[in-house]
Amino acid sequence: MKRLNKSYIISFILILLFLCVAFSHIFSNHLITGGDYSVLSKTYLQDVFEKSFYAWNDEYNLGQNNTPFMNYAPYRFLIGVVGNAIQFNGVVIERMFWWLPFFTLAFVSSFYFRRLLPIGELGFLSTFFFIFNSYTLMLLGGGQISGVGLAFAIAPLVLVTFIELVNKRVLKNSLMAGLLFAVQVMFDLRIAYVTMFAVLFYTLLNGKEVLLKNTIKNFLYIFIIPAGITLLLHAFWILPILIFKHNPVQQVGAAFNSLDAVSFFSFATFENSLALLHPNWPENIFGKVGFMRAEFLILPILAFSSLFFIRNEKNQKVKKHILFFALLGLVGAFLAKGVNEPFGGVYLWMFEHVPGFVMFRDPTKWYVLVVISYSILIPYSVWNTYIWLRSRSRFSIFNFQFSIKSKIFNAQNIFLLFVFCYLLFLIRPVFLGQLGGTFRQTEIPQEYTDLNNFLNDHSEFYRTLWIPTVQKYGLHSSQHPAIYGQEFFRTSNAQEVVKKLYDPKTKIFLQNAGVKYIILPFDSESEIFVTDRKYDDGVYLSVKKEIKNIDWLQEKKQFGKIIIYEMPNYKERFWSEEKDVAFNTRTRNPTHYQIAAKNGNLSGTIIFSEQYDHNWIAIANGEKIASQKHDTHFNSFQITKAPRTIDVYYSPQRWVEIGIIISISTLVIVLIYMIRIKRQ
Amino acid sequence: MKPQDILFILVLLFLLWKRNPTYAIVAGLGCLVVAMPLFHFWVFFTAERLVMYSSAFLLLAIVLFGFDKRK
Repeated sequence: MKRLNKSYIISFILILLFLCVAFSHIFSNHLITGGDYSVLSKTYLQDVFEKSFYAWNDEYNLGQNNTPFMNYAPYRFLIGVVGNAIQFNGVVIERMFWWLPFFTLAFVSSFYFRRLLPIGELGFLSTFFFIFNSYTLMLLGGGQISGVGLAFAIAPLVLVTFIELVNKRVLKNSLMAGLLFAVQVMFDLRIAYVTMFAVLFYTLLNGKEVLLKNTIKNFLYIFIIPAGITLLLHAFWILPILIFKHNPVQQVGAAFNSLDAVSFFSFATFENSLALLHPNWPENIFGKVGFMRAEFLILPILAFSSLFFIRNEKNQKVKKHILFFALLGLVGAFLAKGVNEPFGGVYLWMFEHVPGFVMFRDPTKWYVLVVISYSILIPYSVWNTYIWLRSRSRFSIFNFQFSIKSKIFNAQNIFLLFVFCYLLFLIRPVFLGQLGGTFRQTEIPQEYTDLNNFLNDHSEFYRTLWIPTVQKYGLHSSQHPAIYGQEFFRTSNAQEVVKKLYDPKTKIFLQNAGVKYIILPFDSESEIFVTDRKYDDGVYLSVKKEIKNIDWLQEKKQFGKIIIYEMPNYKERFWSEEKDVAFNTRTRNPTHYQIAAKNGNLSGTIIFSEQYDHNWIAIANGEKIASQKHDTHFNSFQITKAPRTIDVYYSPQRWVEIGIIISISTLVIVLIYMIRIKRQ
Repeated sequence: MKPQDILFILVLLFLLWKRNPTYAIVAGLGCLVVAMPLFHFWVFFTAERLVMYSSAFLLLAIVLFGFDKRK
């Protein structure tokens, strides 16, 4: 036992050392940026603190229903609370809430695999492989740590808990599984779905034990209780979705859920997924798929070698687990390749017919199953090969007898060293500094600091339109929402966005939407003005030239390559078509505004320049007034009884608040119950 | 149907006749080993096929083990 503890401590230190080398930039005092990573600016953190639990997001475009994206709200709120306590220091926050929890969860979580298979002193190899493989590294490099990354890190823990629940169906395990699953759902719904897929798979493989005897009781413990806890803990966003029959899939649009999108996003081939080689490894440039690297095929060889040891295994549960994880690896590889061969049609069929599968237009999320499978099978194979080699200290080649007596220089240690060096060789770009994204230290350009200061200096409400799209460091807040040009005008071409501005109707629309500034960004990250995935200054210059030809736009200010153009006569959030009517607007929160006329009483049509949603209502003198669509995009309210003030609400917010009470009550009850069970 | 596919079917039939999961594992891992140099020398078609065959053999091994376990 002492020897085991010693080996764990050594392996822990070893992994820590590798983490320090690979992620050395975490120890700097700079913000980490790259990929999808949110830049934790002070404005962003202040918004996080104040606006985590609101059903309407007013920071982007014309605003949108936020309930389908609220699963992350509790963690956002926690970030906001701590952020407020430490003066919104983003450098500390991102390390405290993203990087440290990721490594802690990945470490603890993957260590739980030891409960399922005897991997002896090689438990650390599970952790090492779980963190240092091309998929995890691309996930981190791509800046997906805050949601997908954390859900991925906790996935082994959730899976092991559920496997233990399937094997021992008691209330304590059900509650624990429910709590952990709720945490995973909070981080990312898709990874939680993938994990639940694995759980369902395991349950079906145990069909005889689980499905044929006490079926209802077993289902209650394995699925209904954990699912019930998860639903109740997430009532604050699920309840409004159910009550208002809101379809989140419709909201994201056809670009996200069409079959063409699935075909486009199926970047990995079957050999990529089976060899656990991320298709974008190592450059991580979206859509740039590299050639298959032969050396990665040793990974499935190592993983599936575990099947050789089944015959000698006496423990039936261990046998079952090896078969399960081997099958999980194959199924994961099959799904991660998406519509590519073999049997690509299966994925398309599942995308259309299996509930929830519509979330997987990017099939690489299924790599999670391959990572989990190999993280347990490879250490098992290596450990058993190690033991097998140790038991053969004597061997013969062509009748020559050899005997190895050295405690260090022996076959088993050489094999172990070979495996370790091989795994390091596969991920060498990390240590050679060849990975980009969050692996590279970048600084926020001064131009963006100046721009954000300039925009923040004007406290009144106005929107900004970014051509062609918002840059990573660009400001967006409730007071100054940012419109993503390409997304808003539904085009992928920068010049097309400018052409829209030539239309006189667009000018009127932008004025009505409250757009004060049109911004041409500086593409410091080479993500916007690109040709063949490389920065192209020609694209920037041509867009700049096209904007100059628009006579109603005045160049207001320039910060380096960032150019700000000013719109004439832009309107406020609430406005009227009648002349000389102005309002005093009090913003209580993104879902509640109070409007009063500057002179006299309110009357006529009040236009509210947030995206039209029939759930916006106005209350005037106790009477509810429904929102009507104005000018294809906006909300409007017909005021008849001339009130002095009106309140404008987003009605799903009431159910968010009821949901919060349900969620908190559930958490308290479950925790009290678990403490009681533990004491007994 | 390519010659590789015919060979694959023949091996698969042999493995089904033998019903020995160890043979299926050897065939599966063997395919991966052979695919490695082919990928290295950019003989992609055969290498890709070999990876597919390997997974079929490994799946067969798992199924055979599954039946074995039940017995």
